[in-house]
Amino acid sequence: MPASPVKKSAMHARQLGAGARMAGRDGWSLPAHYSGVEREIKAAKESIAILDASPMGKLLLQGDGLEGILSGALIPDGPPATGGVRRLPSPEGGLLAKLAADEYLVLCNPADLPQLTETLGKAVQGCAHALDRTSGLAGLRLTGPKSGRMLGKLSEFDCSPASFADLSCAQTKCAGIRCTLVRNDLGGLPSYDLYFPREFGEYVWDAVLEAGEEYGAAAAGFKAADRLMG
Amino acid sequence: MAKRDVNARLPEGPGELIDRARPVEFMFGGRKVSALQGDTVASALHASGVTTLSRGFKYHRPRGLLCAAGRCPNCLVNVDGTPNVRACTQPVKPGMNVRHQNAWPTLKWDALSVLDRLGWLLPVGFYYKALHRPRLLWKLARGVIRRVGGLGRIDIRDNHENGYRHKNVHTGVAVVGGGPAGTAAAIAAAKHGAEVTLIDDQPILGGSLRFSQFEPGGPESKAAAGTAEGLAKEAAETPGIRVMTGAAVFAFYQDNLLGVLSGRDLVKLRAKQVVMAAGSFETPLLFENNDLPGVMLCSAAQRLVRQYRIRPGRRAVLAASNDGGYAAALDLLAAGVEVAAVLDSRPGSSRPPETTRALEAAGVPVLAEHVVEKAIGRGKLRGVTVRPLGGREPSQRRKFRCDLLCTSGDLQQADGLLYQAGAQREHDPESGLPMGWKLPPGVHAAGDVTGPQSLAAALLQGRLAGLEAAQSLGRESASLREEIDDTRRRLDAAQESHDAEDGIEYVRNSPAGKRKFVCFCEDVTVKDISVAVAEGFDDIQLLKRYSTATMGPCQGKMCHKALVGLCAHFTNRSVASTGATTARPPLQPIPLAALAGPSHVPMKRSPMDRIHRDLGAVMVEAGPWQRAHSYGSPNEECLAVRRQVGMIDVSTLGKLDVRGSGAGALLDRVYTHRFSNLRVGRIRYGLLCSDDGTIMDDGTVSRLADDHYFVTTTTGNVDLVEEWLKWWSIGQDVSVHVNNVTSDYAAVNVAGPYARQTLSKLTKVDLSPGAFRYMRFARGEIAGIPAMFLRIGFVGETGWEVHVPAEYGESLWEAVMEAGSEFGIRPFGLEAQRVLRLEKKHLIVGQDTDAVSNPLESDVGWVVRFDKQDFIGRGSLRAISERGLRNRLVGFVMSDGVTPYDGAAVVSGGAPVGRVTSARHSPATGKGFGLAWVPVEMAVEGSRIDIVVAGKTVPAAVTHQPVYDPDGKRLRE
Repeated sequence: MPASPVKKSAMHARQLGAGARMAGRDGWSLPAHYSGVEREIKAAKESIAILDASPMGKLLLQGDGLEGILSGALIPDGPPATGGVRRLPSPEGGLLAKLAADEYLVLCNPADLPQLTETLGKAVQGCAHALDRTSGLAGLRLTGPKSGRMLGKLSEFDCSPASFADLSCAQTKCAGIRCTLVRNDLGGLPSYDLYFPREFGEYVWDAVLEAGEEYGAAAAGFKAADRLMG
Repeated sequence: MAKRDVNARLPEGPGELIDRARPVEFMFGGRKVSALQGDTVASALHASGVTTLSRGFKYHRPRGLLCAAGRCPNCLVNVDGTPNVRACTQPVKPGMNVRHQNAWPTLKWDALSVLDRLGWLLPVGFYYKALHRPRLLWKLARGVIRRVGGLGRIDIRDNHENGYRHKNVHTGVAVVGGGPAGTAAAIAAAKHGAEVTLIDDQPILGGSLRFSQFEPGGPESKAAAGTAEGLAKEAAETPGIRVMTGAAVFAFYQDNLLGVLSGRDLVKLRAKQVVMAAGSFETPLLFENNDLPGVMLCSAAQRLVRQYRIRPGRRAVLAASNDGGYAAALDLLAAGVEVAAVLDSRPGSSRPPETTRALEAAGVPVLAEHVVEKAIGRGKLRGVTVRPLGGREPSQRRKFRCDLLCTSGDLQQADGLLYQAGAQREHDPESGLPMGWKLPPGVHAAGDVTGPQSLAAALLQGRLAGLEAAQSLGRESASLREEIDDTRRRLDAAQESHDAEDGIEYVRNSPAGKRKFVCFCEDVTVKDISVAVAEGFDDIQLLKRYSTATMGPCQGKMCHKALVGLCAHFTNRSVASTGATTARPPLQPIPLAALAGPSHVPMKRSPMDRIHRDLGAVMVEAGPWQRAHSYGSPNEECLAVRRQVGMIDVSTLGKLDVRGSGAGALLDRVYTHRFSNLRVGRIRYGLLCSDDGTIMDDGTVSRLADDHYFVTTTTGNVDLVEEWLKWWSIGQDVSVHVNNVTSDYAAVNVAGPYARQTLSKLTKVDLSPGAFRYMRFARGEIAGIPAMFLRIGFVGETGWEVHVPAEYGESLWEAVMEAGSEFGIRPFGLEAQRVLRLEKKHLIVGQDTDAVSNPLESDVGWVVRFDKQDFIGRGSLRAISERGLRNRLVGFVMSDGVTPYDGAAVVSGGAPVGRVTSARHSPATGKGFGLAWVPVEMAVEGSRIDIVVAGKTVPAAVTHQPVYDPDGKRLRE
């Protein structure tokens, strides 16, 4: 039997082409860094760092009565309004984004997914259910002061701070395809997560990198991301 | 062409755009031209003595600088391979290659200028009138016209280097026009907290203040450059204003969406409020030879003087029907140009007193009620003849020698965007003269675009528009209301009453002339218009289309006013009742490449895409997906599946997750088969029909749990099926959720005599014939990866479809290839799969069926359950069944080795009666075979049908049996 299986993102081949040094993390083969961690951090602080967010756990909650189920023990402050995002309580943490009246997306670190799936899976009963979309949705995280402006090249959605503040979400079109947009600022830097169907991975990668070129955007690995998150 | 020293510019002055310390060189027509940083191509050429920039569209007459502001067609050139670039707004760049267009062999000696003498052959609308008979004539003429017509040539080798970017920008208030009114509006709105985007097509803010020496009012008033500088500075210092200069707003679309072209960026600007302050511009006067190089608008000469510090000529005559000519005369005098005369078509009482005094003091004759009759010169202006208004006697004519004639006809409001926005001009019901604008909600207007203004009024109007825009954004406050009231009061006091004019004076003294050009783009003369009206094209819309006036690159900026005036004049109507042509986007020509934007095409790739490419697979587009067609030899791939084992990437299959207590009922309703009674762990083939009983899609349905199904669809139809299921689930009062999980799974089909051995090496799931039967489902691990196993048989061999989380796609592929290597495993592509399934007579929806195929005639009637409750298409299928079948999809085997093309005709007695949908050569039998639609009477086992192959009729035998494994034993082994 071959060596243990490896999870690869839809943008894996493009990342190798961009000179990524791959390393294992949470079972995924991911770019640890490209040309240099310092350069990538500088890009995040001064323009835009582009990070593969595909490994993020993505749990879709659908159905009637979710509001009641999620209030109470799971989310003490109650779920957010549509278009809003709320942090989930520890230990697992993560984010709860309300996409529509009867639809929520839970985002969490890959390691926390099994526990969250169990907790939420148990709680979500009746005419509601949880569906793990981690495999189907590829993700890109755009972090940096110019990320909003760059998104303006990809999407007609108004990402300006006034209308799309930190901890907001939207379902919109980016680079011509449907995607879920979540704003979750990182250490004071504007940061946007884009989640889109995995099969468009290479196309979105190309479109995003091309859009970022004029702002000096750089692809970044998880080492830079770790440092940014402190 | 006298060559001048480029450095011999006028001494430094306020508001100049050139950087004298930075010389730039570029090529024009093969020779080097020296320029300064900040020059435009046109200003640099003018400075080096080039006065002819282009040739006219129809008559190929030489044309020189006319507007110098990017509005007219006179300076279109080819820059580095891009045609139709306006030389007067294109900044010079070192090494750029500028070429003339529309002239051959050279700009100076253009062979087609002979057309200027053959004008009688080309009357208005000649292509409607001539060249009809004999018919051959048109065929010949068409080629010539196509070669000669058109403007500019696209270099097809010049492609992606010049790509355009698309950007979306959202703003609170968009201000179009950076003149005094627009800038004042931007400042006022931003001061009240609005987020403002201020757009101007010129390189710096300030509008007309940037090219006049004085503010309107003449030498007594302040220096205009100072006022402009002050406004620009205030705009730059006011927080919340984003300034876009050198950017053209070319369209106003619904919901305040503005199309803006700024360099290589196409900006889609969405504004909550829009302030239109695009101002007005001069239009040419009508006189004989009004297109001669050396004749230009007053503002163009002023721009050359003030912005580029070029003396536009040595001796000038100015002719105007407004105050603009007077201001320009002062500017020219200050630049050392001798002014021979200033002509004003208005009576003496209309003259601006201060400026007239200053001019007369300088010895310049100011002639009231005088007009230009003719410009004299060949290729270059040498003088003008002028006459008093109404004076037709030769003795009344006067002649002036000059090399520059500056004209200023009636001002044209830059109102194209206002019309596009849906604004309407209001007219005085009695006099028919224009009054104000009726504006749509969210749109404000200020400055000269609303009519001629004093500077003070324009500034107040701008401020008011800005304040009102801020108010509409919800920035309500007592101070804002107070400021609005105060501004309104001051504006009422400042507004002078201008005599409204209808523009008809403009043309009243312009009897038809052969070379009096109305439309410079399309070479339409006053005579053309009079002939067209006489021929009956007297409605402004018809006149426009017939004469093509206003339809060229300037889109009516230079000619619309004259066209309407002439139409009114020749039809004896008022301007108000004559109307106007329709303003549509784009307001000015923009490259198609700018609209097209970035060149990426959304393309779907499977999780194993990299592996296929590394294996050298021939990739094909299957809808939006990239799929492997083959890995070299489809024949060998087929044989590998039949004899050993093969693997195909089927990740592209549509996959739907259907769950909830109503899932079974929904599938029963939508599919023709029954699924509510399917046992957990089993799979059933499913077919969907629309209401009329035609096939929409097919696939498999696996029951994972009581209230949970996994549905596959064809690659191209998943969105359709998802939508279809969701649509029909809405009416159900029980819970059901449909999710498209196509992206979530990587999938392979491993099939062949050794498929079981291969997979068993990787999984603990018992795959033995007794334990894992055909059309069964199981979960388990494969190579350490969580997986779903579906035993199905599209290619007709023992095989499993294995679905794993998409991120494991490459690992799964590599593990199976390694495990199968001892059995001779080969990857196979789409082509091999098509042959293999055809041998099994498995149809492909969309290939073998079309928009009118129903399951009964497509030979899959066995999946239609008339015995269950209603399902979509049941009524229609029942009717078809009762009516009787007309055609049938049957298998056929050719009598010899030839293979027809897909789509070949089935004929009977020489007439087509059916068609081949799929045909291939069978590696097993050596014969051509396939599927075909035939009339039901021919669909008899063994009967002969005739198929057209390469023009010949070849016999084939009908069969209802698959050519391979007719009993399906191998599938079930």
